[in-house]
Amino acid sequence: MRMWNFLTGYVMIRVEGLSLEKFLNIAAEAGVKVYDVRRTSYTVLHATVSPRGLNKLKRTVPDKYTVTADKSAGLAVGMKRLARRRALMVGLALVVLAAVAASFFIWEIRVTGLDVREANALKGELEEYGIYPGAFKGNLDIEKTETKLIIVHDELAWIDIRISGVVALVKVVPADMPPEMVDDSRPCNIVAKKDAMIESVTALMGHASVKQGQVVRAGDVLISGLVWGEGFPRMMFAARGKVIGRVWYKASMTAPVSEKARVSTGRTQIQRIITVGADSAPVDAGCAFEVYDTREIGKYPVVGLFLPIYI
Amino acid sequence: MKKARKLTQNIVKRLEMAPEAAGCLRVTLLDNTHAFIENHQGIVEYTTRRVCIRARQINVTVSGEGLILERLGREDVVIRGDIAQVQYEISGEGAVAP
Repeated sequence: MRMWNFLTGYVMIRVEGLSLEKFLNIAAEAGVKVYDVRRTSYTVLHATVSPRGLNKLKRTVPDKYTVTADKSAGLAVGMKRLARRRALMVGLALVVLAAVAASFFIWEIRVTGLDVREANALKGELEEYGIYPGAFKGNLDIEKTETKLIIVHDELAWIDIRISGVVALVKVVPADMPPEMVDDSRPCNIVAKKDAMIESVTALMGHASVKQGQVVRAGDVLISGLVWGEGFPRMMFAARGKVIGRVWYKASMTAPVSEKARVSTGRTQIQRIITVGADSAPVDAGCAFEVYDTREIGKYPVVGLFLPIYI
Repeated sequence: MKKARKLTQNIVKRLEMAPEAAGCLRVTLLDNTHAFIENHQGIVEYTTRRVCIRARQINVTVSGEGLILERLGREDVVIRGDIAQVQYEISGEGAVAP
């Protein structure tokens, strides 16, 4: 069926009578376009006409032909049928309105470029600027928020906030922080933080107090900032240098004689869950396995990024 | 009548107009699946194996298997199916539709 016929609606008719060719000629003469004419027997043919064409045919065709409508279909016919069901129409309109209204709000904030803890902290901060799940998109000043965040956070080199459908995509690039400044004017020693066996010592400022192969305890002085010798005055520096040591860790545990271990069978079952905002509902039937582990494979938007519906 | 038709044909020829303008029958075949027939004057016979179409001077008969009239209008008809043969038959002025 042609697209135009589908849009305007069409009626499949059954014509009975003798000399059906004459019927076709009458229809053509009356300006009724007849489609898909199939003759099923000597006295019966099936064809498709427009609803208006059928009315015209009923007026012009002689009584010796019986024209009956088998089925009417198409978009216009469907819409007419739908128009009769007012409750359904109202429901549909409400759903569409709700969908449109839902698309005016932010439903998810996705932060990339930071670890989970930092991302959560940033989300909390974004909330102060009005970017949070449920926020109205029209009230947002993205550029201002980006600028303010950059000013406040020295550790961030760049922030890009983009609203894509109902999702706020926040892209963050952390800055490379300069090394910590060391106060050279205060004399100090370099001491061991942990028990270790010294591998190498390179004293840049001060006097190396340990030797290679020596075992030191936590708190022992490795490079001393106090340098003195016979015939020389005592000098005090902020000790600097590089000490490499081997550190050991000890651990102990007890294990039972027999132990139950879970081994993966390799069998999997995919369970789809539809998520609307904070609510979720399973799509598939329950899990067939008695004991199982779950893992989230992916989260896909059902209607693009337009609505907060995921599967 | 014959003279008038000849005169029309001459005028069309001299003015280099499309022959359809003079009411000539135009048959276009697409593979052996579709036949477009323009400037017809009615259906003489239609079965799934044979479609006979009347024009001004000739009848055109399309034979084959599973023939259906995909579209039938006042001036044109589209036949679809396994077309095996297209035959012309000089009908003269006297040919009448059933």
